[in-house]
Amino acid sequence: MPVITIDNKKIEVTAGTTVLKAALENGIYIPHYCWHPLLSISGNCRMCVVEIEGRPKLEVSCNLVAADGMVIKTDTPAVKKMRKSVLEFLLINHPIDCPICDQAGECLLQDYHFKCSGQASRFKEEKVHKSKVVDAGRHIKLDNERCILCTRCVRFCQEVVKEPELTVAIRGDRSFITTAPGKTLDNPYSLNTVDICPVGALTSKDFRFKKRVWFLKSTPSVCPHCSNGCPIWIDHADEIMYRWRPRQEIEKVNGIASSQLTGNTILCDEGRLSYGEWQSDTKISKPLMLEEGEHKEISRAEAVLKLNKILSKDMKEIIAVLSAQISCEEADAFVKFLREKAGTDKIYRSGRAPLNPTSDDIIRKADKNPNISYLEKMGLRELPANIEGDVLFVTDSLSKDDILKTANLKWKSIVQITHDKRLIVPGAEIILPRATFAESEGTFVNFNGVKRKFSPAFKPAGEARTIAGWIPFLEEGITGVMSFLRKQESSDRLI
Amino acid sequence: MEQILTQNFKVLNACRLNAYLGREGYKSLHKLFSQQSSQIIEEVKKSGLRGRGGAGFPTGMKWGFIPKDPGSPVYLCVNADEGEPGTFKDRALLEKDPHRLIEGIIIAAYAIGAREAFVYIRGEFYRPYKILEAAVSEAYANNFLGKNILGRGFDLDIYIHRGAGAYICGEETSLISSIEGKRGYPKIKPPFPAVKGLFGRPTIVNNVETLAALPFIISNGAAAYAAIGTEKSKGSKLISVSGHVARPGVYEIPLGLPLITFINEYAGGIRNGKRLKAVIPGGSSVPVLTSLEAKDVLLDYESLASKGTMLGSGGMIVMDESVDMVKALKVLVDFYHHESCGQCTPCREGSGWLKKIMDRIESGHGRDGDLDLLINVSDNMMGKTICVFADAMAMPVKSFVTKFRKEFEDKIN
Ligand SMILES: Cc1cc2nc3c(=O)[nH]c(=O)nc-3n(C[C@H](O)[C@H](O)[C@H](O)COP(=O)(O)O)c2cc1C
Ligand code: SF4
Ligand code: SF4
Ligand code: SF4
Repeated sequence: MPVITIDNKKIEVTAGTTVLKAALENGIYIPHYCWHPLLSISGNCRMCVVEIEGRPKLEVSCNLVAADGMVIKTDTPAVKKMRKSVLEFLLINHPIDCPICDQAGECLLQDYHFKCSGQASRFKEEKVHKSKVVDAGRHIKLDNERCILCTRCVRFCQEVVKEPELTVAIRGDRSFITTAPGKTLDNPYSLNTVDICPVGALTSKDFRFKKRVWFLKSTPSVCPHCSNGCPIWIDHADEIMYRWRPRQEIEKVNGIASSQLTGNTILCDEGRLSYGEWQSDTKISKPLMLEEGEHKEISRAEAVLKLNKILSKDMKEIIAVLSAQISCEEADAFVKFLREKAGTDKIYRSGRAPLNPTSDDIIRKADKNPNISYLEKMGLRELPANIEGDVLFVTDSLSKDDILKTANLKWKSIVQITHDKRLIVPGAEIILPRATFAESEGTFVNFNGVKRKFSPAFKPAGEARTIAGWIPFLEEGITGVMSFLRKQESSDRLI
Repeated sequence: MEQILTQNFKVLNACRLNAYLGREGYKSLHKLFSQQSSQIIEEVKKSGLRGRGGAGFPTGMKWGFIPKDPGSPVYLCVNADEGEPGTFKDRALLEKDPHRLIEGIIIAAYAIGAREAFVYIRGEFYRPYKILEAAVSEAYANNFLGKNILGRGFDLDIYIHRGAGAYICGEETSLISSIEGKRGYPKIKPPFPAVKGLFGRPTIVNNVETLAALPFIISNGAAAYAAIGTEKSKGSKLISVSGHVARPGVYEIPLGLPLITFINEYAGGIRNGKRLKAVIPGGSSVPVLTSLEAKDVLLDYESLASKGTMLGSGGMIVMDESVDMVKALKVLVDFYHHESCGQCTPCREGSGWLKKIMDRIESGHGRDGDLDLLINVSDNMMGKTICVFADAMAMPVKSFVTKFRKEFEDKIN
């Protein structure tokens, strides 16, 4: 394997790789705009130049194949001068409307200006004016004055999604990004263009003007919208999620401008925008009980007493359904409880199953649950038709088909642990509020067997807790010994 | 000197096959097909022929870059885009002697192993296009093109592709993008076209004039060609001369001819008895020469290089003492600003910046420091982009401002 030297650091590289990639992978940060790990090399921004020993001219590192013995310098006066001049050029016609730009705070123009230039502009002419607030597609607004014409968005649509919806029109400093004739930027991955746009030219209609990015906290998580289980960042503030972004899983370099730079993945628009479903008005934060056809809020103690009534008497046959929306940890704990404490082995799986689920060979999977592989591996089977028993335990939700399969009047009781009123199974008598994946920690196993951990972005709402968290209460519901409940209640009072 | 490229220019209807055949047209093909392609490449190397499109790269050497076992089709692209201001020599060849070009295309295609050649012709060249199209049809009808040419087992098809008015599409990789149906953006190199060119296949791009020199070289031998010109600049070159000369037009010269001899003896001298002020020797993209510099320079690659300029495409623009150099540069800057493809940051932004400064200076609103800024912005563009268009814009700016600084200063103050 070739060995090259970058800034006095000897690096062994895979044959055929470029100097830019080798540098980034080895913690040496070379600023760049147009290069992106998912896209073909364009070489237009001219930011990533380096000096090569024995060669007269600076060369762009994105297109420089690492050859054995090459000695590269990324920080010489000539390199620094060139970066400064590229930044000066990029900014002469830029509107610099950072105060009203959503990208501010995570903008590569801002970041590199402060890191590599900082000089005042020598440009004293009228700037070129271009179209702003262009409706590029269902989810996206385009500002051509902010655009630095790196063509990442154009290449993304063409090369990754294979939907050439965007193009550059006209020439020279009048060039602008536009949708191709008769097209809009409406492919199922359109919002990735917002991520990969290094500046504020492409913005998400969903996120525009909602929050300054420096107020957002980012929590590593996993998109629960399909069995691809993409790694995401949950960007949130004050217990509200504002957006999800793709999260790269390889190490970050130098911290600057974060995930835009290396090895990041993509998200589908559908999954990315599904964050809203998790914070609707119908979210459940207290236990509910069915009374006279309506679900009324009750205390935790009332819920446990009620459970005890249901579970201690006539507890002949419990049927349990685990949703593929729950984590591995929740599933393990619940199955253990069911087998050892509730004495049942009739445990099945269900999950979200929309009509006509979307899928493609990019990332979207037809199974819209993040943890189906794990439940399958546990040996859980689908619910059989016309299932009957005394008590039905439901975690999260049942698919429409499974609701039909369980629809009979013979249940003495249905107990459900879920986070949203819209998911309540008809006839459910007791509903315990469940902490969502955004409020808890756990693991999902994706369609491919890849395990991914998620962490809590914020605390569960009200009395919500994970399924595992509810087990001690369920156990006391069975035994009737309420010591755990009492302890909890008194410690809660102390707080 | 024997006329090579212009020998049929004064022959009636030389664009028709019959007239061309009557002038020993397509004679080189018999010799061509009796040799190996590698022998042809050697012959062209020996002739010393260098690319006439502007860069002056040795033609035989360029052909040698085609991989030995390409494993896929190889293409020849003929650069007939001729958009460089001041350059109109390919048009003359296309209109007056198109079969010479076709014969040259057959030679080059045979040498590099191409079975398809794409002629990319400037969109505005409608008349040359019709003439070339008719000539290609004649060549097909007489089996100089098509399958099994002259029964010698070599197949060749020519496709004519018309441009749509972009100067940048004359740059070879942009030309390739354009033929591929893409936006006319130059491509980053490497890979070079000889390795990965048109549709990702090994490709050679040659200028019309380069190809038109081949029939002579193959028929008469490399030595006959190399006997013309100087030690390092061999053969003949077309010069298209415009501006303040008595007889503007296209002339064939032996390389190494003194520039002043050319102006006086070929182009009829400066018109109206005026004095020479400046010469752009090789198309608008090369640095301008003052009359003093022009005095003892020769029209060849080395002599012009020693004066800091280039032979380029051979598009000579002659300016007499009446020329306002600020206005002249503004015209050039407008052109380059209009034609930058806009892909690279320094060229896209620099071209607009230079234009805005020049507009101000020319309209009497120049400021202190403008001239240094012009030079500094040009420096920040030169050698820093995907193609050399940025240099082609920066060089005239730098040379005009440096060599005629006083005139610019007078305009500002
Ligand atoms: C901006 C630009 C414009 C060019 N325009 C032309 C042109 O119109 N015709 C041409 O033959 N070469 C043109 N060239 C040069 C070509 O890139 C290329 O070098 C040439 O076609 C190679 O042919 P040759 O080796 O036979 O000269 C241009 C180059 C640049 C950078
Ligand atoms: S794109 Fe970046 S530099 Fe431009 S206005 Fe937005 S934050 Fe500011
Ligand atoms: S919109 Fe953004 S990604 Fe697209 S070319 Fe402009 S700066 Fe690049
Ligand atoms: S140098 Fe200018 S013309 Fe050439 S590719 Fe770059 S922007 Fe286009």
